Amino acid sequence: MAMLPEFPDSPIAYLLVKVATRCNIDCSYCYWFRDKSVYAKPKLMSLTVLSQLLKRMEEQITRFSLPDFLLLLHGGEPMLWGIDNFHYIGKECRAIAARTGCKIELSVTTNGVLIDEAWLDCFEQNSIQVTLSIDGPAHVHDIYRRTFQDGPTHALVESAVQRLQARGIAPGVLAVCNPAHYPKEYVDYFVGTGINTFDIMFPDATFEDNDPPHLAKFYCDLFDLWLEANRDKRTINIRSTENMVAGLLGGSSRTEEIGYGPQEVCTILTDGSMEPLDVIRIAGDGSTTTTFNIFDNELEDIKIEPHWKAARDASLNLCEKCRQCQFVLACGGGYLPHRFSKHNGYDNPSVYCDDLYAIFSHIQSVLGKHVYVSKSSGEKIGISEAMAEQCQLQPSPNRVHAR
Amino acid sequence: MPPLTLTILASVLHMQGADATITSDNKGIEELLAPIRDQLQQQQADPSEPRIIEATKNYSRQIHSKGVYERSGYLKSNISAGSTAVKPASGTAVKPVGSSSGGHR
Repeated sequence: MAMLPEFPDSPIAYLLVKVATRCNIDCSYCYWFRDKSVYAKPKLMSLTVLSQLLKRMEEQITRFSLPDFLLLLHGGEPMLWGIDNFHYIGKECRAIAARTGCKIELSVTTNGVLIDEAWLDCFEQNSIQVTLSIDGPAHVHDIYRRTFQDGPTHALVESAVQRLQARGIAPGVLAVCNPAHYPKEYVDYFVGTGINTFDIMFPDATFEDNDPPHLAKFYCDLFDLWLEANRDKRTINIRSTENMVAGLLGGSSRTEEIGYGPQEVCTILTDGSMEPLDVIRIAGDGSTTTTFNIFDNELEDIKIEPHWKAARDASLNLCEKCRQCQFVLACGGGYLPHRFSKHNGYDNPSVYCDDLYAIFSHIQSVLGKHVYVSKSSGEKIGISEAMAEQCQLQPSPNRVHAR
Repeated sequence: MPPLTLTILASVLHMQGADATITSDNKGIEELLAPIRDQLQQQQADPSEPRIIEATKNYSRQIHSKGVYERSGYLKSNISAGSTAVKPASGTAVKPVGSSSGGHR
């Protein structure tokens, strides 16, 4: 079994800010509305709450001399908050940056349907990074991402992509996997639309959901597409695939969804409530509800909040099956919310464990054919061969065991 | 091949000689190997660091969000090879923060 690394304490330097709790489209798979407590929150963040949030952020930056800080504006649909509020938070963040020397990054994750020229101006003027949700081509996207009148939304989002691209803004793109379709349909669509950096995420599910889909074939095929597309020239970047590859090569994952590491998200609700990772809401009503808020608490206080602490502890204290698995570092037990069951809480492997194991096995077998130990003489030895030599000469205590 | 860790990789390269490095014939994999090579080089360049370092001291994660693409935060730029703990100006120990989220909207 591989040794698991330790993650000592660090200050909060990132906030997931729910500036709107409602949405303007009606995606049937959305995790956010699976916890009905969201309807008890204000629809939009008020100026009073925002001012307190900015005050807490500046306190945090000053207290820890943070060199940078990230605010991700989120919802619901965050653009429902209004363009004036976006301009205001941009201006205030620049002022805090000027006072503290901290680089403050502003990002927004949106369904894109409200993006027009005025919003593009706003993104540019306030250096707001944009991430759009698009589930690939229209015939896939429009299955789940519908208007409240049950109409399609793909054309609206595609229009947003074109507007962004016309301004020279390359948005990040996130899709949710629908394994009833081929990954090539997603990849061809994104590449054809000029989107070369994207992710296709696992559908959110827990052990309480009936029949989560089988994802292994989709993601194995997706990896094969990524490998071929990047054979001679770097052409596409698929975040989840690359994080899996990086993990198997001994590197670090750049996302919370895969790879061993702590879950430390602090979510701020429209009323100033402080909560753990928002996706934990798929565990059911009240699963993220806390008594902490930015009026009574400093940002660092979230670390003693029981739900937040439980999530962090669970992300590092993996179940026995995960700890014995050869892919424990690269996988990390999958995405924390996907480990939930009413019986065991998060003391489970991912509900997608079999899929993850199959995906990592496939990628690992392919990597063995493409990774070498190279020397200045030009000699190249396959990594598998080099590792076999090393094992024969110097058995390692860290050698992994088969599951 | 079994999954690699920096410990295993450093050991494999050490056995193959001082000029050995890890490469790939695939541009995508090659790019993902670049930061791993950097970490290994940093350790070799700093004599105060052990030549073969433990995975527990080098495994780091950058702040990254489900909703945000690529963020190389201060933690990335301040992580020293061989340790997950860095010291900001205040002297408070900081580690590479793990994940951060916000879901697909």
